[in-house]
Amino acid sequence: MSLDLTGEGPTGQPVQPGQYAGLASVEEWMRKTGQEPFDWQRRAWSDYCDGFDGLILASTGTGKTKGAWLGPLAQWLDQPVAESHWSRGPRRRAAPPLLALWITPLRALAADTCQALQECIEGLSLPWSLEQRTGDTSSSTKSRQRHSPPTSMVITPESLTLLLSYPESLQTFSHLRCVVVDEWHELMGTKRGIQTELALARLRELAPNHQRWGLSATIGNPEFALSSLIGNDSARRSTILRSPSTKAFEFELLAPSSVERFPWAGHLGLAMLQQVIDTIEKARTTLVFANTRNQAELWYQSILKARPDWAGRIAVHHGSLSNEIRSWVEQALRQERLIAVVCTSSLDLGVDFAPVDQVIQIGSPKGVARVMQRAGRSGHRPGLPSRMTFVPSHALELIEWEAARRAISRSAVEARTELAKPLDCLVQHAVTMALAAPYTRSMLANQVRQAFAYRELSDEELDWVLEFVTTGGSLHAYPDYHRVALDKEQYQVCDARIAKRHRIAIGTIASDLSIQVKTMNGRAIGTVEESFASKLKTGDRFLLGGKLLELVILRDGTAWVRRSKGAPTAVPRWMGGRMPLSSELASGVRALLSEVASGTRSVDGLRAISDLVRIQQRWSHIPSMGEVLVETCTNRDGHSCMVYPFEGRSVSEGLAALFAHRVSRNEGISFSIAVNDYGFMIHSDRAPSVDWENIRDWFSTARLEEDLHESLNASEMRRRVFRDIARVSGLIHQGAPGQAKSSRHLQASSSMVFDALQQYDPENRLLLQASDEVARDQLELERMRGALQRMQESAWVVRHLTRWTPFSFPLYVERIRDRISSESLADRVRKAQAPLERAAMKEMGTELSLGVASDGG
Amino acid sequence: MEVDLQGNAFCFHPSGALYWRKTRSLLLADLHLGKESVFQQSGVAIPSGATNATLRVLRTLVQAWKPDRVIVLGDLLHAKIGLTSALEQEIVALVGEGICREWMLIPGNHDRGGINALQQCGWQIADEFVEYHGVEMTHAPDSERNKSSLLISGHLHPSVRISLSVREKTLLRCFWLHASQLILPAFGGWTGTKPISPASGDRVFACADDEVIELAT
Repeated sequence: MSLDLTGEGPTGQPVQPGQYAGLASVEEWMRKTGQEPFDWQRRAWSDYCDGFDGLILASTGTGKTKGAWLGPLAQWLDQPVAESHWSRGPRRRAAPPLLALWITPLRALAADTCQALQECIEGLSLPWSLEQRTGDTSSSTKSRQRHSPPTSMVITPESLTLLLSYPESLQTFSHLRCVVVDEWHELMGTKRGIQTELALARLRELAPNHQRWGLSATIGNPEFALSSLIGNDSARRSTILRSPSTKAFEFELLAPSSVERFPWAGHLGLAMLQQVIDTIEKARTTLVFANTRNQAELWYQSILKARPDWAGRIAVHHGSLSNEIRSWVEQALRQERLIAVVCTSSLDLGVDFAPVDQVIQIGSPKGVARVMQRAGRSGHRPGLPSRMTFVPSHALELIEWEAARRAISRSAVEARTELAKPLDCLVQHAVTMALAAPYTRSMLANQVRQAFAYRELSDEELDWVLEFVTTGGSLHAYPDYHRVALDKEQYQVCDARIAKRHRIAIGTIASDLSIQVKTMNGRAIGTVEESFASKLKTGDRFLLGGKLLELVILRDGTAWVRRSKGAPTAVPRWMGGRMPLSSELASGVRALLSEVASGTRSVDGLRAISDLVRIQQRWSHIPSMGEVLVETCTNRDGHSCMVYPFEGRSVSEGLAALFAHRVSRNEGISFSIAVNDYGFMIHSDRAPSVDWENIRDWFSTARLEEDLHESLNASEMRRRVFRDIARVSGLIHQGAPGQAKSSRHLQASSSMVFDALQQYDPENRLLLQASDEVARDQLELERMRGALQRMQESAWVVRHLTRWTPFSFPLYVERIRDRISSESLADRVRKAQAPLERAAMKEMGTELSLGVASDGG
Repeated sequence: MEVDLQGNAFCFHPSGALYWRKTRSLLLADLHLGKESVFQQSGVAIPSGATNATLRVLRTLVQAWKPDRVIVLGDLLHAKIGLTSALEQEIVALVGEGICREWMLIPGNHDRGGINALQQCGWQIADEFVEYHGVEMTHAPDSERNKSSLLISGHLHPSVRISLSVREKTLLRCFWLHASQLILPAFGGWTGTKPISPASGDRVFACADDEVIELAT
């Protein structure tokens, strides 16, 4: 039997594999091209033909595109000609209507994906048409696609939402049979993911029987990934498929030889430059991953300086560069015109991205999944091993690296956390839907509760959203406001200008407030953050896209620059520069330390770790799994107390603020705070009157939230996260490029909107959402609560230090970092570490492979 | 705070208003009345409140100082559509109350289109440049000016960045004396500000809650 692809839906009869003629064609084509399908691919295809939804967990380069795409194609081959909107006879008619959507999170990937999908369509000689629809698609194509869509479309979440805002969408999607979401792990737990979930919920309404498949990298909680993909619908049959990890990893460590010295803290900086260059030289193609965009720019410049003959053969790639530059780099890499690209997470993703020979990771990758993802960029073909070389930037990162390797061998990968029913996205969706067609309250309620994130949306919350888009939520505060009109229980947008502005805003969910950087002749180079740009003065020089640029003028939301010579005077900052250590990796680090300390495990070849651990153990203590370590130190500088929960920097930050607040409430003392991924330091002029033997009592979970709110500059944090909320919910308008002038009277910063709401509509739920987001994302409240509970159950070990230890020294450096410029920081770190090192050598013998920080940045 | 500029005693008020004793005039700039409504009418849910708060502060000041005239240095309105009938009534009530004889507007870029309606509300519309007792007044500062006589203006919404501690910074609205030009902060309650970078020799007076403080530059 065959399944109908045109809208009647699967009949629900279980079918034996092998009954599908379409699958035979697929197998035949694969063999003709010299590929043997993997078992999991065959499972995926037949499950698809059986009408299942599904999630495929596979790393890049394992054949997941074919795994998800050939199922729908095979199914279509099986259906009766009359229902396929196409006759196979000599008189071909037009391509079938829109049957399949392929959602990709990055528009940079759309072209690659199209190529891979097209190959399958042509291989099977299907009459399907395939087109992209992203922010880069021309408006005439977009408009044509609305009226006569192709058979299949590669689309970004924003473009899909935008398409759904047009009345034509009711027709466009009526034949839809299949939706594939690529790189679902990138979307899950983010607002773009929520936007996608809402769009999918709408598609379920327009094409009730479509099947959904997701592709994801390995994650810790695949069940959640599946649920959030297929939505809140118990009637649907679904499956999770894993490509067996045939992928082998080869890891290598690029550590300083014992002659060179290893910093306890600060940055190894470019000391490893020559080794990195040597490593690059050994392979045909290399990706060098840095954790921040600054680091990427810095390494690119330094490599180029050391190897001027590589000009034109190496490049830099990160999210703040213009599309044009990025796609040039990607293309050049594909054609093997480049030997190395220095990049950030911007190249974590990619479909059939040119498989590079090797990957170099600079600094700790901070997460298990990230290591796998990045390492997977090399040997990116089924069967080939992935090679990654790690370049630590200070000693403790060696432990993180080792912990990550162990986690990979156990497949202990991070889970994604759920983003529960954010109202800003729902506000946006309610307006989007009102643009497409009038709806009633119950229609919207049924639709959005289909989305997994909103399955528990209360009536009250729904009503607030509908009130907010129609009257603002309180008639008194918003007398002249009507974004969505309510007429005879039908919600609809009637004002064409509001419709236009809303459509512009839909696309901005992903972009941060940023300033375009252009050369004087109008060539776009990339973007910098608004906060950075606003501090630039004419003549300031900064690195972007591997070029040294000098600011000429800041005008019309654009930083106009020219090429410059000399040294940079300013360092661009981009958000997300500092990734916290994931909790999986953090607990791996705890376990590893504990084993090394108890001597149950020696770390192969990592002499530096063992030495470091031994010094820490002699001078203080290494906490085992059931222990929390506290160190105190009094010197002429004042009194410092260090606590090491090993929970990542955001938890450290919250715990530090909590502890400092509770102590200072007790006795009126002020602290300065320093944090890192392992722990925190609070520093004061005199010793606080804390009973160190009972220090545990200060870390109780009682009144946790209240104390946190009092202790942190919670209002400043709320203001920061509100920026995103305001943009998503349409409270600020960035305006389209070139439109900036005409809409100037509508410009208000999110900070101003925040002030207005706080003052004149304090009950507004979007403000509450900002508080929730601070608790969840900034403070990681749940993780913190878990940490506190674990700490309550632990034994506390308190050590009073006479000198800084390997654990406390990085915190000391972190503390003085704020006070002085980075140049003098390096000197101070060097000076401070020298006596420690002498003391360590005396105790441990002369072959110690520890050393001093070699630079500050 | 009392400041003497070219022989004229001015009182700087933390609301952003300037009282000129000799001429018994109250000077203010950039009220942007009706701004919330402009947003609301365009489908952006900004709550009302700032406009009424601004008018309340203005009324209180006029009642306290009893000036002979109020001079607004431009941008009394945010946009013409913001001048709703409700706002018109508020303005008519304020002007017609008899607490001040003369209400004068030096038009700013945002007032375009609202001029006639404001005139009907009782405002006198002045030229874009006004000279009064040797002091010049206009809406926008003149970056190429090289005269030494005092020019008072608004338009920029100047503010100054203050570090409270290492991690905490804040923006305060300010009066900015740059060469012979005095630029007033925005008087309106919901107007936004633009941080300035004062040149050497400039004087900056920051509005900190209910005080005006001169900052060292």
